[in-house]
Amino acid sequence: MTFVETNQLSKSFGSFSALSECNLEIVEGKIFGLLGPNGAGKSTLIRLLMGFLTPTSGRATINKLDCYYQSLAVRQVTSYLPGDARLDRQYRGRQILRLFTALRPDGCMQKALELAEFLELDIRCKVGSMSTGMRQKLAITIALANDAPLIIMDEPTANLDPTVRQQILGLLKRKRDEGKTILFSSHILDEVETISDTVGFLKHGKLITTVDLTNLRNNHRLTGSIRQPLPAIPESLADQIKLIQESGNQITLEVKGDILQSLEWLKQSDLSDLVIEPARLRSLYEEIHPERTELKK
Amino acid sequence: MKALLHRYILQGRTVFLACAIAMFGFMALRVWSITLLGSDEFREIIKYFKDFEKFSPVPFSSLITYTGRVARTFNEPIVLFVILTWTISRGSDSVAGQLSRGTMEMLLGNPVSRAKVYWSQILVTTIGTLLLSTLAWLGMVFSVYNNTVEEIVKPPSISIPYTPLEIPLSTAGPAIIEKPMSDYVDIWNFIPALTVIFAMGFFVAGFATMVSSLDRYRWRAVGIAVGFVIIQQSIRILAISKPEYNYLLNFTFFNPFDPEGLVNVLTEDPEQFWQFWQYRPEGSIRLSNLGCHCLLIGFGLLCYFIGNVVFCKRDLPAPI
Repeated sequence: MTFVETNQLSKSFGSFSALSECNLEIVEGKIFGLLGPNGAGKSTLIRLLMGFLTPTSGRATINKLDCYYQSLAVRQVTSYLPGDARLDRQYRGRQILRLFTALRPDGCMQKALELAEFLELDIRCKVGSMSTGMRQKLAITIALANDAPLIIMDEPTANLDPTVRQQILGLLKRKRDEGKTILFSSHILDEVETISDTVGFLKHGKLITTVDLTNLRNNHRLTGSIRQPLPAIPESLADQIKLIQESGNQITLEVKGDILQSLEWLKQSDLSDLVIEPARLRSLYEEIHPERTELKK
Repeated sequence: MKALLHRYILQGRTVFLACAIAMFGFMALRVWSITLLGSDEFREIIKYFKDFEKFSPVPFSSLITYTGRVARTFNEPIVLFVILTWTISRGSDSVAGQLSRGTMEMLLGNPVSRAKVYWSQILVTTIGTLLLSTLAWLGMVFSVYNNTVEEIVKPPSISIPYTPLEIPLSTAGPAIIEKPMSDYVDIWNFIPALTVIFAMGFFVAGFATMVSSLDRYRWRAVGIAVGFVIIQQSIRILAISKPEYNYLLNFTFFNPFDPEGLVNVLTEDPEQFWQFWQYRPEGSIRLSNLGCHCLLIGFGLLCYFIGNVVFCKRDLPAPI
């Protein structure tokens, strides 16, 4: 069942289009990762879903509820972590947890305390004296200390060390296993790839594509050196092999599905120094954002 | 709602405590200072300021009484300053403050309506304003019941009819006796001063809240609210300086904010106290108790409702 849906959703600020005709479907009980560089429209999309912004056109629904006109009902089924979670600095961690669990009918202080302990969070400290990472952990604790069927997180692992990052990803997986739907945005390809079931790519305010990672995980990327031109791709493999890049004597191919037949074909060439790696998200990201890949090089 | 109220009480408690101490302490001290100068001495002094009577909301004759002088304390700049500090600081924080701190987004990520966030802050601000106004009155009451005033009692004498002559019946000089100030001042006469301070605070808080709901920077909301108060006071000064500018009084909230005038109406002309307009013997008309309160509370409510509509419909910008 589709839990989150957007239909031609657009948002403009003056002449600047932050999100343009976005059509998205997120299936209940799955993790949806939202990828895109800064300014791609990830936060705008999330803020439209939360009802913080008025859509310029189009519509967004969560659990069949209109995100703008029924924002309160939407937030009853949604738990949210903002991209830049700021909390009242004069409160202690425990006070903040008490406040936010009291704001939700499904908020649970006991659950919040357990999560805080799991994340090694010192809730006796005042928020103002906490480090950025600690504050982020506190905000995550707030967002996860309830029973909302949808969790929306805008870059939840920003400012966190690798260990805590793994803990958070583990918690999200556990929530998914409990049947919750999760939408989260990130810049980090690896973590999106690790836990997402589906990934959406945003660029310049447009949703370029959504990819089911189960299928993507069967793809491979082959990189190697070549002196002679590659032999023609046989017709039987035309759908499976795609030449991604060719610069100098370096080539990169992407192979869908079974890799053995493709390797048989490659034997005919003088390919050397072959490196085979799972294709996954990076290749897709580079396809969508070639300018960034070039810049990196 | 309870959690929100608790949050806003915690946020405002430091400013409130400071304002409460300042208000109570100042009023107690100011009323005590009245006891240092007897009514007769004050009458002598005030003669020299006859030209400035037009700046006074009440005739000088009423200022000579202890009641008139105590009523004057409710219109002191410090009292205004304390009330404005509380109302502008809380009002400006209601939307723009939380947006500039970035805490609004985290709060509204929960199933709490914007209206609830908005009105719960107004409730805290309003209760705080009422408490501060009451503390101004209590500071006055404290001083009235703990101070004495000196009264000069002349020796008995006989007046000779049709002549200005008075023949003393005793050779003793005038006696000075001390009497409790409460013998001269009825504390309940100052309830209109208390309520009109509250009404003025309610209006200014409403204005600051409305500006706050339109903006995303608290410092700008504070600036606009303070600027508005200064302009309004300037209009009042201009309006009372020259008769031809009198019509400007219709454009300043300092016109209905008239604690001395209301105490004066209650003590001198109680029949007109509960009316919207007061008709004066010289033929002029001015706002009476009901008029002053209705205007201030009414415009305050209007500002609050405009702010509510704006806040409930506006886009919430991301924290900077």
